[in-house]
Amino acid sequence: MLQAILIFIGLSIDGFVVMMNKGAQLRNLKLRKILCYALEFAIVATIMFMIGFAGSKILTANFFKARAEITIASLIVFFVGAMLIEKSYLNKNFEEKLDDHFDEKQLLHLACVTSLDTLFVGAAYGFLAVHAIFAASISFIITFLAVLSALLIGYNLGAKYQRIVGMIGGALMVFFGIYMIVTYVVMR
Amino acid sequence: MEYHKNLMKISLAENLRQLMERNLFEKITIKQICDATGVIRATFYNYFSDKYDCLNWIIYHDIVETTKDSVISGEFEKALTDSLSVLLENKQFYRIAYHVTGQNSFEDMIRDNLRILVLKFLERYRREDYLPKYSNALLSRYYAESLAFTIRMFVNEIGGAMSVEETKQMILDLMKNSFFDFVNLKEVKD
Repeated sequence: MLQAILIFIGLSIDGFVVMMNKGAQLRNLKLRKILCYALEFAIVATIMFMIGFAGSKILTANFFKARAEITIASLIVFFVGAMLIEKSYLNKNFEEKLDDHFDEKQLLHLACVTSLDTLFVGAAYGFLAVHAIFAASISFIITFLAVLSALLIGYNLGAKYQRIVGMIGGALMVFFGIYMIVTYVVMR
Repeated sequence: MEYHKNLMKISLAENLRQLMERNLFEKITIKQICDATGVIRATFYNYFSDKYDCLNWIIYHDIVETTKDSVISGEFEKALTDSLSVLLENKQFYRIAYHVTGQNSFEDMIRDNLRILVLKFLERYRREDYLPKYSNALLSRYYAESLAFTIRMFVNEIGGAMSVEETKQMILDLMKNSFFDFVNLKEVKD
């Protein structure tokens, strides 16, 4: 369970950084709006997770053996983490500029884009035969809390530490990718 | 209300000015400007869209706002003296500000605000029958370029330090005389 929680925390870093940056660009952001944004984001992430999970179940039933399934899952987690590190490292010059046109449509777009990695991890969890409802609930709660805190931090403090946060989250994912390969493939 | 709004703008802008004397512009955050001003971060966006907007307002205040009365009275020389005096007073800041380059460069901001100043004079005092094919917009951009060059020289003491009077006289000499007054060409057609 702890492993699942930590992986979801790592996954939510992507959305955290994006929404922290967005929080730094918004004017007159009320708590009610923040809660709505966090809820919408969490719903999208959970749907993406379930899509990935369902997709892996279909593939498992028809195509893959156990070891191969877990290897694929581990590699997905590893590469998502590596991409997050690279993306954060390259994002050097984020400018805090007022965005007066941010709306639900843009939020949905951001949520979908940043939840793509959640879709892949949903697939990985499917391969690892993790309980779906449990995993989806964890995904929802963690994403909600991550986006909520990101918006509050961005709005009140700015987006100064977004690179470090992104790189730490990516490193967490890379670590778990390696951990899963070693634990479930190499050692068995 | 307007008075209070203006006070807050001035306060934020002044704190950015002071921060720039100690830190690189690129490293300055909106939070730092607001902390120095004693307001929450969210307040900044009620007055400026970003720190570049704030920097641009400083220049607008120093070059355009300061010379407002001179524009109304048609005293171009006084406008030059007033704005050059403000630039001299804040020379250290302006020297540092010239390092802000790229898409939102300081030099572009200076040029834009000088263009606004020249345009204000043209809109009030332009001779309508004199070379009307050249619009006020074109003339203001042309003269703003040369003024921006002179200001850069003045602030950065390129070619040696110049006083406000010397710089003002240089600007007037260059504006009053054309290229053809400086050269001895065989044939100049009107």
